[in-house]
Amino acid sequence: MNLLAPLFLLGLGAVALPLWLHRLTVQSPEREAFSSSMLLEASEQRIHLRRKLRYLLLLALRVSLLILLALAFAGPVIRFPARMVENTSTVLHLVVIDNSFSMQAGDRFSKAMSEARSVIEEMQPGDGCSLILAGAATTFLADNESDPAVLVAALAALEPGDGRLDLGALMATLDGIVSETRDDILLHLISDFQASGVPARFSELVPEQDGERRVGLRLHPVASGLEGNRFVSQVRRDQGELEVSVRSRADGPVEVHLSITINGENRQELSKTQEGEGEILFRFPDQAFARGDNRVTAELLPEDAWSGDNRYHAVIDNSDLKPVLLLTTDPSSRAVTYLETALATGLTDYRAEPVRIADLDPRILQRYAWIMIEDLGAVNGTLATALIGYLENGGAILAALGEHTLTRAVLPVGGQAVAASGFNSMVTEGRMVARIDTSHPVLKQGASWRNVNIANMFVIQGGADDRGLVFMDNGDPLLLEHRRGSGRMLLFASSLDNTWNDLPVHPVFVSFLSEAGIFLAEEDSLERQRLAGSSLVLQQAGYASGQVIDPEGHTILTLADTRLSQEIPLNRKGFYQVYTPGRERLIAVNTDPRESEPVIMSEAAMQAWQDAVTGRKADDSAAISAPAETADLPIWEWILVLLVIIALLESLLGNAHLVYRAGS
Amino acid sequence: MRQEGNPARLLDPQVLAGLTNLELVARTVVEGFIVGLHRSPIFGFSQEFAEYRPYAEGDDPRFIDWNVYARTDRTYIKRFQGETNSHLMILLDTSASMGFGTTGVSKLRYGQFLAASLAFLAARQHDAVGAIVFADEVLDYRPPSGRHGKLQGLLHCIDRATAARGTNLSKPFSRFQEHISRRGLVAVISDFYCDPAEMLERVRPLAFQGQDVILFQLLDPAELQPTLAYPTLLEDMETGDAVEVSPRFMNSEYPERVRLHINGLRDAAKGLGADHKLVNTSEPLDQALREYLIFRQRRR
Repeated sequence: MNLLAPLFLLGLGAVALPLWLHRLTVQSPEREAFSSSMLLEASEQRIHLRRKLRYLLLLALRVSLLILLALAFAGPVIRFPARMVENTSTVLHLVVIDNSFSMQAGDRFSKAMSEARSVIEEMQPGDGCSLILAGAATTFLADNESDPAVLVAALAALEPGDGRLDLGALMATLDGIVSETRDDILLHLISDFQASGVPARFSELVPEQDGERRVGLRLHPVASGLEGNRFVSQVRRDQGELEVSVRSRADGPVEVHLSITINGENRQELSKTQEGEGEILFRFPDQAFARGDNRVTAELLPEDAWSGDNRYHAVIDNSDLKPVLLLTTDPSSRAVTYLETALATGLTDYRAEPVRIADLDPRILQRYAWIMIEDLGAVNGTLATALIGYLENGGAILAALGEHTLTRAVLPVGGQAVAASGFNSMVTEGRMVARIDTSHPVLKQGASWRNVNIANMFVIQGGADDRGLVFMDNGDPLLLEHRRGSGRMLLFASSLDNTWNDLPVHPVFVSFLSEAGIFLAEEDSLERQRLAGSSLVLQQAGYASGQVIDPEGHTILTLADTRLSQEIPLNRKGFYQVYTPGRERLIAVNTDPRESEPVIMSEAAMQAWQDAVTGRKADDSAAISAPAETADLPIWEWILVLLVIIALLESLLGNAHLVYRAGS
Repeated sequence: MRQEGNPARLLDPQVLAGLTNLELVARTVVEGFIVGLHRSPIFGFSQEFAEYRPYAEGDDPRFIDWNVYARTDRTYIKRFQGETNSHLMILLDTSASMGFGTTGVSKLRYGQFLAASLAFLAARQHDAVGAIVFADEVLDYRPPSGRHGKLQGLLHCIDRATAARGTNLSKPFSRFQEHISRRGLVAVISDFYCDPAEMLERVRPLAFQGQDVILFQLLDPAELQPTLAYPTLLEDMETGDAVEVSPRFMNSEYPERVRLHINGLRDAAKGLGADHKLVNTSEPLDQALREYLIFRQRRR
């Protein structure tokens, strides 16, 4: 028999109470010495003997009552050979199979499959098993399934992915699964246990436990020893030259061959000797790129056990600068000059395309990822309506104010109220920038805004859709973000002609325009180089969000899905084609270089991990982490039944004593 | 109140219990008893002159009447009434049951008073006195002797007896038979918690030997008429057996059982020609001594 909570056995001390009480009764003053019992009634002796026996029985019942009570709380279990116990305590086996990129190395993944099948075969009748594939994402292959045939079938046709497994994130995910399960859980982690996957804090590897169930952990490492690896870590373009970095995590000098392919055309191959661990750089000069996005692939030879990371994909953007509509009342104004110059200086992908407001055909607005407005007050009603439609369909605007705004009480497009009309609305005193929201993407260099001198600005009262980004020392907003539909607008509450402030001639103006361009065009969500396992977010813009074609040429979204905002996992290496309204982009996806690190967790670290989990409840986890040769049968329910019976008998017997005394 | 004014009080066992010296107790009892006896119209006492007889060889020279010898030049022995030249053997039971007592004086202590008084009284009558103190074994044995110094030893023997162990009548009676062949008086002081038939079996050889036996059965008032208010666990003082008894039984049935037991003993004694005297330990000793004198006088 085994006791789950031996401390409850301290309750056995309560047995002393009935013993003491009965002893008191035995020593009662009713017991008297008498000269001889020779003439006493024989039947009286029998009665006394009977009563003494009943008294002892009553004592035994009371003592048993307390012993059983303590035992019931101690949660005893009887350990039987597993075959003798029929589904008495079920264990949920959570079998987690690592399918990250590193599992492609050698025979790691086939070993993992064998381990998983072994775990399934060792399951006891009544046990459940959940199969989980863990890589860039966590996927359930089977949920609490007890049929081994179904489980083995679920393992068929699995193959390792290109994503990264973060063991800390995995354990956080498993923590949620564990907390929602009532059965005892035995975690089987089948992985190569790369050291690069271990979180900084070891405690993140240990799932929380609430004491209701037992949780055990068994690690099934499938990688042994240190396997060398070389992989391409980066491809960069420097004007007409391509630079490719190759990183080595192997010993000894090796002749390394590297070839590059641009848009499917094998351009050049170079060889170098790599001495042990480190990084070497291959340069491929005078490469010609096609207009637009170029697919560049660098391939490393010879092949090694980690062949998957010998090929690296990159997108080289050789597009023309994209136009940004600049609406103005005077294309030759200083504000236009400052904006054009700042865009060109910032090495952005955009160029200003000034258009006089009076000459604008609003139908062309949808061509532009974002537009600039020199003076929002100059926008007439028709244009304002068009701009609102543009915004609501996912467009973006950077707007400033100017002399035309002096006649406005309410700003067009955004609808913000101007504090007063005419020149009275202007703040003519010198003001200082006091507060900057540097968490906003356009204000990454925001600290420099404090050096901007503001002579005149409009006092704007933002609405519910407005968010202040830069504030003056009296609390008036200088820069606002306005959201409308799926579009957004940045509103600068002064002019950009260097008359009311010196922002246009301040260095922060260049970085501000660059960041504003990236923010407004949502280029941050269309980063060209991605890691396998990351997600691509397609915001719904107007009537569509977009479509994505994976490296194998399959469209990922159905036609219906293209009308909704989507978060698309980029799980495979290669080039993804992304179509969004008005744009077409290429995204290169490569494996996380941390997955190419061959160092694995030490045995001591893995043992410490298991101990950290099993240490919570040493006895319990030992019981469920051991191979299921024995099974525990809880007997507290039976003890409770016995307890009730004995309590009943004790009541009846105690009552009989009372009856006897009353009648005597 | 002067002691002489109320001699009966001197025989009160509770008063005697305050005296630590058993000889003093015996002397007090006997002297008080004799004072009371002189006032009795029924009984004379042996100290009164009875007759003269010629001195014969073997007689104690102390009893030669020298005044008669001076006048007649003949030696005569002065004999007193009650003098029988007999001897008294006292058998005192000291079993554990004799330690029972509810009146302040246990049955054993009462028995010691009685034995000592009998011994003193016998010595005063010039009888040889001996004693056997017994329980389940013979604990002490003093052969009969008429010497004064021996009386002191006898009283000491009686005084140091304590209640313990069980009761076995066969051994003291066997011992008696082994050492005493001369006829005399035998006083057995016990509570006689035994089978009357067994007692009969033990006393019968003495009767056949010609001994005159008197049985003093000492019982406490609580044994004769117990009063219980609630069920009580009574523990046998000899065996340790506990018996829980109800008030109904003890207050009504038990006295009847005791009475039958006493009657059984009395009948058994009568069948052997022995005397049986029930002594309530709450009563003065004079009744017992008076019984003894009647018994002695009848045997002469």
